[in-house]
Amino acid sequence: MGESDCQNIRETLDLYLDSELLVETNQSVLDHLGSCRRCAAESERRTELRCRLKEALTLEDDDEHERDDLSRRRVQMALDRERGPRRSARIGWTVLAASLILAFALGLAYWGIGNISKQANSSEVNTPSSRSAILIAAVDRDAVENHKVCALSYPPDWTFDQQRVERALTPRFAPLIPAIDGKPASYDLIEGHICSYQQRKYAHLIFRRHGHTLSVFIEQDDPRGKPKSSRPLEIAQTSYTAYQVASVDTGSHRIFVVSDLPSVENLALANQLFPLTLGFIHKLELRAG
Amino acid sequence: MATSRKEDFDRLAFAHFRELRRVALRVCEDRETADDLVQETYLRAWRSFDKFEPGTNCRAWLFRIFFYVRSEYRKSQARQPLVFSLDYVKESTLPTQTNTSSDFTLEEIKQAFAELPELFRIAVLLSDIEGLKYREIAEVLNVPVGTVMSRLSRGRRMLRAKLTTLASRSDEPGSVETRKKRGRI
Repeated sequence: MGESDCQNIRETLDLYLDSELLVETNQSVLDHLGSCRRCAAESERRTELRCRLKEALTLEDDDEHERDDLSRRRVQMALDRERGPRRSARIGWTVLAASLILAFALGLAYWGIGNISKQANSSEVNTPSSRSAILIAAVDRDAVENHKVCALSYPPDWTFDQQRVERALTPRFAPLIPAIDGKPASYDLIEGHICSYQQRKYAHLIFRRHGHTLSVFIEQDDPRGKPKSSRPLEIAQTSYTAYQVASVDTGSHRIFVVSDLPSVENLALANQLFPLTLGFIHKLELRAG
Repeated sequence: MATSRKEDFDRLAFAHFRELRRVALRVCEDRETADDLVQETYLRAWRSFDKFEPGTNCRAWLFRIFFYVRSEYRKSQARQPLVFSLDYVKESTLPTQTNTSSDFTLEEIKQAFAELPELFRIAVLLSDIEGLKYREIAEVLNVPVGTVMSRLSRGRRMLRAKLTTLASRSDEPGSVETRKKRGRI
């Protein structure tokens, strides 16, 4: 048995192990392996390596199982959202047209009359006169939708794990946890991660207290945006469905506090959280130069 | 009817959720991107579920959508294409392998795998870990079967070469790793 025979067999050995050879070629490899100890040993080594590789790559820790379940729930909720409008599309053009007209009318009322309730709260809050109401509504709505899809998907017994959260927040946003300094008082921080909704990417902290869930989102808006340090930042409070959103725009980042609490309470929590979060963003911008 | 479509989709597609996410985690640079792309894959799969032929391979269909979504994502990130030499390792130039994979820890094997160029890593992942046939991998990656065979062959050779190199390093006299592995420490 020559070296060239062995060389040929080595070239086709992977196809043989993958059961991708034609019957005749398969038989000739089998015959060779039966009579050549070196190639048979090589075949065993390759088979063993595959088994070990599979073992190495499929070995998952308990955290990964949890994340699998969480990811699956998020996908399921995104699908449920996706399926909603599709059902309504089947009810016929007439109803659809009527719905569009109604939606347009409601939209006008929404933008124009003041579902965007700008709530001035003593000296800490300024009215968002320079911000487009439509823009506020759109970005706030996405924050609320992400709060519903992401924050509300965590089971009631979900507990905070410092290491998991620091990993999930990435080194860039992990320092946000000490920066918020245990605020808001009496709320439990249960989760933190980077997530996205409608192409918006957020650093997301989730708090809970007495069945209420509170989200703090930081969204990088425009990395080249100028910090609005020359004038006071405006806190805008809007409502969307059953949720309240307090938000602030630094020029480079937007921060949102979202909850199902009464508007005054949501705003009070935002007032606790915004100064600390703004301090964190300021340091982030300094680091970025 | 709609309920039946939804139930069929959930039953067929979610049966492969863990496998798809596992592949996503291996080919995306971070967990968040992997989860985003898995979510987008399921949304697109749902939208085109009418085109899925019952009885065909749902897992390969999902993988195909995933790799399409990922390629769109990478274009949007304006990534540079990966450049590597196709002559990286030839069978005839390989040193004679005497080590078995049990000489390596799972972590070392994982590390050697992670260092493979992406195209080869994906081919090996789909074949050796997910058990797809060559024809299915070709469909998933939208490349000819010959390309799959070539990528697999080169990917596996590189993996073996990396482990052989690792073995020759740790086989140096007095190497702590060697002695640990062989149970002498």
